[in-house]
Amino acid sequence: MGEKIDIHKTGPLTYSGYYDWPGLYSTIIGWAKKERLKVFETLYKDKISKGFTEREIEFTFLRKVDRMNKYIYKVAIKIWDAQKVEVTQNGEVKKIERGRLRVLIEGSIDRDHQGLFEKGVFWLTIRNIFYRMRHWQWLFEHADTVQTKVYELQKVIKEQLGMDTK
Amino acid sequence: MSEKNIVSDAEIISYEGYFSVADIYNLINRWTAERSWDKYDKLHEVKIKEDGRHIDLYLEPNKGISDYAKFIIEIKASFSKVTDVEVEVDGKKMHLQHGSAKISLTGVIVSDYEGDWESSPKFQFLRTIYDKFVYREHTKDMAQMLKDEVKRLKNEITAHLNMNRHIISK
Repeated sequence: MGEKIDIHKTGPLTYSGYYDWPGLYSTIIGWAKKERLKVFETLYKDKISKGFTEREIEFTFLRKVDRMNKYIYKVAIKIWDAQKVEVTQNGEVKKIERGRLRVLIEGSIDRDHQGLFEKGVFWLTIRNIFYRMRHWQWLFEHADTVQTKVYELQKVIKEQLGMDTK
Repeated sequence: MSEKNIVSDAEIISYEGYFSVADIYNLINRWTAERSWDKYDKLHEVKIKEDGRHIDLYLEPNKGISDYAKFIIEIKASFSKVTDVEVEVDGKKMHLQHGSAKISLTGVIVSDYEGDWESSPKFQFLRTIYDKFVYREHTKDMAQMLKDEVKRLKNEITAHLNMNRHIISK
């Protein structure tokens, strides 16, 4: 139902080193809750071999903005060679992970997500005319918002990982 | 497929000393945003090694100049052996990084980026004719414009890095 339009897909964010996995997980969920998005964990795969963990996790965040537009954000994280290590930080012993990870974020909009105009050719034509009339307004109102939010989430993740370009 | 033309050879900045990766990243973002370029971060890579952090950034800010062509500045920045340091400047403590940086900037013009002329061989042929004979002068002007933009950004980054060197050596 509806018409899915890809707005923005970030380049891969790759990191190799120490990271706080539960911290990263809760940061992403926390951001989604702050943005009042519905959270779906669509994939969680853990594969342990020879003491190293390979993990794949995917989230889908949704928000119905109005009767026509639904924002969709997808976050895909893949971790290789993850290993639990103990480190001392400010005199406190912490359990964190060491490994390589890659984060991809995608933002899209489902237009006419309720399928209100999908009852026939006539209504589809009306929908297309409506889209054309409001194209620029739609770009500024919705597409820009989704793109900004994608970069915002990327920034939050970078901050959590302690990357320099936050 | 759209066509990519490299109009300015890679302008390379090499630097070793104190800098802030975040400041350089923000400088590029601010500079491009002020001139209405769209941001696109192609890759961010951080590797933590024994000798410090190794950071690779591929940024591709782009700007549509017409329905047919757009500018891209391909920025490849790699920072190696980056370590955090605390420096005192005029009695104020500053968190900076020490290491070496190599930044290359390449100007690229992408024509027919929306693929409007790709639908049939006839259109593609027409596009080639159009590019060769009609659009040629305009492409020359655009190439010069992009070259200037790349130089301006390079000067901005160089000035920023030299400023760091100057402040620290005080």
